[in-house]
Amino acid sequence: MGKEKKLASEQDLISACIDNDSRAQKILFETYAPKMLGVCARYCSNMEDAKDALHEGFIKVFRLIGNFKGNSTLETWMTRLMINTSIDHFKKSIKYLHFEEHEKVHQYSDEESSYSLQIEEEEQIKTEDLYKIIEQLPEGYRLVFNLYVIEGYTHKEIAGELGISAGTSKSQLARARTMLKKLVKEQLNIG
Amino acid sequence: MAKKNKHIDDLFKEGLKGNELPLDGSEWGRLFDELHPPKKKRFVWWWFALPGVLLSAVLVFFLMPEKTKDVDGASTNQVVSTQTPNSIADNSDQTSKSASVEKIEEKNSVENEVQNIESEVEKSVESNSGGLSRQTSSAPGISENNKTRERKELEVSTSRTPYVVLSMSPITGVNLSLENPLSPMISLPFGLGYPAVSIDTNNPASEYIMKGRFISLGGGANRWSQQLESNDNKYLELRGKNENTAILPDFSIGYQHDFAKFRFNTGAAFTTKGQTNSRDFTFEIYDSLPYVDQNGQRTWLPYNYRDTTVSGLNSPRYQYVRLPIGLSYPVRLSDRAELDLGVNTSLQILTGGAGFILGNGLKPQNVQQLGGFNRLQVGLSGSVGFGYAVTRQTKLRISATYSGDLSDMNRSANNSQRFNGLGLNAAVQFNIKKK
Repeated sequence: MGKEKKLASEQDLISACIDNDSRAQKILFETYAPKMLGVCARYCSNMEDAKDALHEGFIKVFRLIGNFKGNSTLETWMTRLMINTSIDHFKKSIKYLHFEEHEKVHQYSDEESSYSLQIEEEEQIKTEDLYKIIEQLPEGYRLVFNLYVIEGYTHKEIAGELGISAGTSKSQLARARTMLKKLVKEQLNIG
Repeated sequence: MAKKNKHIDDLFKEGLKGNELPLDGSEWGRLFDELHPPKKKRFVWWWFALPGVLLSAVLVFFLMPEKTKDVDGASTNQVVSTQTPNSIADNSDQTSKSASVEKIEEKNSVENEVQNIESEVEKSVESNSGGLSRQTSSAPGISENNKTRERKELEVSTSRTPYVVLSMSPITGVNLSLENPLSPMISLPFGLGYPAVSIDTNNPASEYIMKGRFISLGGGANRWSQQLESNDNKYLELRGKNENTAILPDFSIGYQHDFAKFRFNTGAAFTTKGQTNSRDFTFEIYDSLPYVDQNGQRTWLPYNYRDTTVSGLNSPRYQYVRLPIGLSYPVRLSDRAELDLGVNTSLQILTGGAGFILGNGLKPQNVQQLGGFNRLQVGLSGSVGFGYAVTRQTKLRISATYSGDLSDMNRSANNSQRFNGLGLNAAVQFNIKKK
């Protein structure tokens, strides 16, 4: 009747997933899906798109898990796949990404301090409010902001990822910051 | 309250990086379905091909235009002629009369034809002039030229004539004739074959009894599928995934009675119906995560069988005694072969069962402990059969049948179950009335 199979370690889990073991796949999914949905939600403009991206991302995870070499943690590797999938996902959903190639980057380069907010020390900002705000960014702004600020990519890496120039990446980041600051002030009454 | 400067980057990085969002229970199920798609039940052409190929092969083998048979056991041509007394008296070719038999398949039929012709001529001559004699071509006094010409007229062709005939085989390709492997029949699916057979339905002189009263003993197999209906779609889906079609045996005794152009069939059949349980069936695929509503309330959905795999369940089997009553329309193909198309209705008596199904809550349940069975059911079937006389009074019949339950085999509060199946059977039929 009941069949129990112990999966002792992450390596066992990966091996079982490579063997297309549905039980191991489920464990992997349950372990990482909530975190990966959090990643996808940052890149997508609504939760439905985020779930679609998560679905596609996990399909890739299970199909490519045999390629995982262990050079990074499994979570990092999966996060990278999710980001790529999210980018691909909304690349498909819009005809083209609009980036303002001729932006004058130097206008923003010396104004880092202007992106600071005055926040009360005890104030807790709800995560869901942050998601709501970031969802309102135009796709290009959101992509670059996420990749640069949260994932820690360089402008050169972002440029390679999105097929734009590093200068454009910088200008998109600056615009994203400006817009976010404005949205936070307006919607959260902060700063 | 004290305020601090916070960069917009830090605000979002701290708030969003590594954040988790709850999922509802449907995500894993959707993913599982894509990762492990159910094997599509392919349309089983071979199942239909088998009886078709068999019938085609048998038809080709037995119904090819036969070469002229040797009436006396020696010659290959039959020549039958008669001459009037006048022609004998005048010793002239012009007055000779001849009669021919277009096709002679059996020694008896040839002899019958000769006798018929001779008697007709005799009567005719007697009525005209009375007391005249008759002579066959083999009689002395006929010239060689005359014999040759008459032979040409009366010769039964030995060449194989290509005919086009409806092919029973759904397989496109070449069917080799068993009689002559060098004479292939190319057939299209349910289409036309070439060259194939000529069908002579007018063969009154056959020594083989094809019609009359026969009893039969038969056996075969049916490929059963279940028609499961339930108000609970998830239950339906899961049982449908676990239980697959089964090929199960069938034995029968039968009685056949021909009247007018139709054939009445009845008898008794011992039939096993059932399904095949999957070797390993896993429930873990469904709703393995709780459903989370907008308020964060977690709810486990009804079919949350986490980590449960059912293995090695004996498949469900149901034994029936069936009492069929049917009517069919036989078509004589030759003196030894016939085709029949029929419909049958049968009273089905459920006599027993064994094995397991996934019962309520998808827990394995012995069918012997299930309720809701109908002991009596009605079934309907259609069949196509091919009969071949192996001896004068014995026929071999091969048939393909599609049958289905008209009433439920099992009905409980939430679901009902019926079976339908495609069967292939062979039976030996014995004539019980001497010709």
